[in-house]
Amino acid sequence: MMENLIKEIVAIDGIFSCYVIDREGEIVGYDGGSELDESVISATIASISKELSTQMSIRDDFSITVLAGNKNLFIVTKKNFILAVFTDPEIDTGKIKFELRKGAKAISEEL
Amino acid sequence: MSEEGLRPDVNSLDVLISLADLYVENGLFEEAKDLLRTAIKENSEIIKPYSKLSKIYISQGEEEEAFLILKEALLINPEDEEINQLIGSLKTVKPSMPEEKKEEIKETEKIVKEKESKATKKPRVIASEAVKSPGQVLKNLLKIKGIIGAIIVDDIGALIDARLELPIEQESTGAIISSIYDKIRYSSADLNIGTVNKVFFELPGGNIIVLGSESLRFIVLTTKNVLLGGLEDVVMEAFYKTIEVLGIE
Repeated sequence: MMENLIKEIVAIDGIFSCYVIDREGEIVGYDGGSELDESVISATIASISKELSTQMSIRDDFSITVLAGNKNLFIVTKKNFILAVFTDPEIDTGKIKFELRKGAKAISEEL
Repeated sequence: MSEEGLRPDVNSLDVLISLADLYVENGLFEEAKDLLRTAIKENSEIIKPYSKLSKIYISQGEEEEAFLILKEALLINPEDEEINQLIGSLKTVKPSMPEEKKEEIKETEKIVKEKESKATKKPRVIASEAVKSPGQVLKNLLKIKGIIGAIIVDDIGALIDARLELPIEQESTGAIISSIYDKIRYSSADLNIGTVNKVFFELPGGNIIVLGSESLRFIVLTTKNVLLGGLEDVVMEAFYKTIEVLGIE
């Protein structure tokens, strides 16, 4: 179940929150704490993803990793959904990417 | 920044090895082997990735491959206990040469390897005093395996300098990537992530690393199979050197 898949991702050490968003920015699933409105976050993530795919004419899957001062943001864009997680900035990025690849595959099968 | 920053990055090595362990735990042996081969390329003087890679080969019954890897590790340290134990554990492949002959071959291989290593070593001149222009920084950056292009643009996306090994239009590419980076940067408040330091794009045709300051966007294009974490230090160094030579901040 989608809810369980998201819970499993958030249970990974260093991950604060996880969003599954459709390509238009609507939240399909979410878990984790946030001080901000989740719909604003999901719309912003979808908008970044759309900007990249449009500007660079990308039709296949792609990923964006943003390393920032307070949190890191990992975005995996698949054909019919976007998986995004916010993490501790000190986290091992290789490990998170690996976990997200696994998570995105499971979510694809679920959807 | 000194040449120190360009020495093999032990942290990156640890990450590669941890990730390879994770792959092995999940049965992704080929992926683990690829990672460890990369780790060896990047840190050819450190024994750990050799022993890890050889263990995967041994676990899969590929003892000849394991032996070749272990032999390379012996060139680094012929006395290494673990490597010698692993060689001793091989069932089907046993070194059959007399000890003196083996020593002679080891010595010759070591000399050849040192020469090759000198010829292919990463450039350690990105941040040297001799580098006086952004063009020189980019030229040196492109000597690094996996880097196929670098573009510097200003805060409005106008081209400052570029070196590309692929047939794309540098001015428009720089402007497009810069605009996407800016979108992320200006969205950081909505996302509550703080100041954006670096952005990595992993795209179907290759990867892009972007570092930015108030007035500069430093864009590096890489091949698809390269490990971005392994390039992070050298790209940072090139970025800071560019800021220094341009005298902008």
